[in-house]
Amino acid sequence: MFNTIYGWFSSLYGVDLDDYLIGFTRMVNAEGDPVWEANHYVMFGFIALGIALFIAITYYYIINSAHFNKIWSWLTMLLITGLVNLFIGAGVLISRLNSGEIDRCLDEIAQDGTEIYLNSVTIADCWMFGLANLFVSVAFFIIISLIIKWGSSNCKRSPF
Amino acid sequence: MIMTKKSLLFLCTLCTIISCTDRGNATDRRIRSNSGEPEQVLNDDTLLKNKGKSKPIVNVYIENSASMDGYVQGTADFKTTVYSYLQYIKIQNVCDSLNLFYLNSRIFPQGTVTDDNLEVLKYFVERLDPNSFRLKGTVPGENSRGTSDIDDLLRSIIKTTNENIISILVTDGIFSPGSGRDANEYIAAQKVGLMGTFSTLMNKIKNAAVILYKMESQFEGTYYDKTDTRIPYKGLRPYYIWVVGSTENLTELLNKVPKNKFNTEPEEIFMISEVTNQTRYIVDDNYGVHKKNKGNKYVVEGLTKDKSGKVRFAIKVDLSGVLVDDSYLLNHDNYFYNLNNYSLEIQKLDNNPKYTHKLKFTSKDGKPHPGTMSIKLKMEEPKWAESSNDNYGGKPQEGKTYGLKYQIDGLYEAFTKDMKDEQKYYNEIIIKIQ
Repeated sequence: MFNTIYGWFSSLYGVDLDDYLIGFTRMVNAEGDPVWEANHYVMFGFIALGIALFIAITYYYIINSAHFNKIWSWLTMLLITGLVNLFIGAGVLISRLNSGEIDRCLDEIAQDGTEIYLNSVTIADCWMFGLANLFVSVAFFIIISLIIKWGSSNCKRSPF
Repeated sequence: MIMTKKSLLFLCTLCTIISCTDRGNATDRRIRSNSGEPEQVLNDDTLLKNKGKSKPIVNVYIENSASMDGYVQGTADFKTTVYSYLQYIKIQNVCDSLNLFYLNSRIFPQGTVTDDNLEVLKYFVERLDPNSFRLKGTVPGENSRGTSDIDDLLRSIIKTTNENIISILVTDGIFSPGSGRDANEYIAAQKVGLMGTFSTLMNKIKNAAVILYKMESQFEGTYYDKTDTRIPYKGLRPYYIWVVGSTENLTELLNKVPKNKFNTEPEEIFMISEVTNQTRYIVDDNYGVHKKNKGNKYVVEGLTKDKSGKVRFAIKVDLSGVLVDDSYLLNHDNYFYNLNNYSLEIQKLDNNPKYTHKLKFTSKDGKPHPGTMSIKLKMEEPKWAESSNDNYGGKPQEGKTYGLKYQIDGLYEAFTKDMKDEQKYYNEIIIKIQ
């Protein structure tokens, strides 16, 4: 499911980073089979979902204030959700790019040192993934809002 | 009924007489040697001994009909090549033992080569000459060297070939029905006969295979034309080495004794094996730009341009079950494929434990073309069969053998007779491009 959702935005950050995020590596095991690692979309997807849920519950049930239930209030929470996931997405990937983790998975070097394939992931691509993560988390927040707002005493009409 | 003493005595005597009569095994053939050597008994055990060991047995048959005399008389080419080939088979541990035979209308054992007595091979090859052919490879009173029927020769060796045995036949490939007979009348029947003979092989062995080497040697002696007319000839003549067995054993033999181990490399090679339906293959995710799919190994999804601007993809395939020459597998003309918007290049994979080759497809116009790609490895007769065939059967023609095409036709028909398609192929790979 997360592969499909993030797949809609993969053109923002490129094929190489998309490959890394789905767990693809250019390594092969002793039997000649490709080595797949963890699907990072699942991790980012659950984090985005969890943060959207937490912020929505905070807005509708913890804050739950008559002075903070207008459309701009809701949009503020929406923005917070998006920005938190933007920085989480970009930050994690920039850290992995700088540590060489992404190169380890995506670069293919022959035994004699010849470069067969070098990935082209950049910091800009990581920020673009952050942006995609923002869109995904915002979508989660909107859906969760529509589902849970009805139980809120002061915010059930927020955003509409 | 009470047995009387007389009846009992009679019965005992009868039993004694019967037990003393040794009719032997019905398959025994007692061969008397003119050289004064003890009789040799040729029975199934001689040809099939050591059955059940993990390494195959190799049985080597040198045709010793009269037409072969010119290869072993006064020239070293033939002997040196045969010696080096068999020596390599032994020292590369293809087999534990190598059984040597002369072959015409009968089989004549000439010794067994083991690790402890490699000199048997040296002795055998050194004494390859017309005298030895006559003395050690005939039965007195029989003119077994006067005729030469390739179908009969191959049928003899195939009788004793199984999953544990590799049979090698060295022959000049000339079909000679005998003095006064025109081989033209029988040559077409050779093809039918050989088709039957190789079909028998395929029924005996799962995944049967055949290798045919065309060799060349100096020849000095009598050449027999299609009517058995004797023609003195001195010059180069082809001869052939047929290798028959299972695909597995022959692949091992080829790996250990490739063509560059022959003293003189073969002029031509033809290999054929039974069709395999279990070819293993997978889309290569490391080649070209397309969506990577862990679950589905037979789909190329989201194909797009790579950094060099090319639209391409590749399939890794295991062709180890197909016995064909490397150069055949690397030639893209030997593959059928239906999506012609792509060009094909084949790369051999050297260090991959699961796959032997990579089929690399590149879009000719730089655009992806979706569809279902079917790729088949052609199963074809060698083109050299025609060019090496002597159609006339008169004087010896350089590099040609009378009736060779019929022999190869018969072999090819046996391996392709069950294929209904016009296109004969070893295997089929299907990939969806989306």
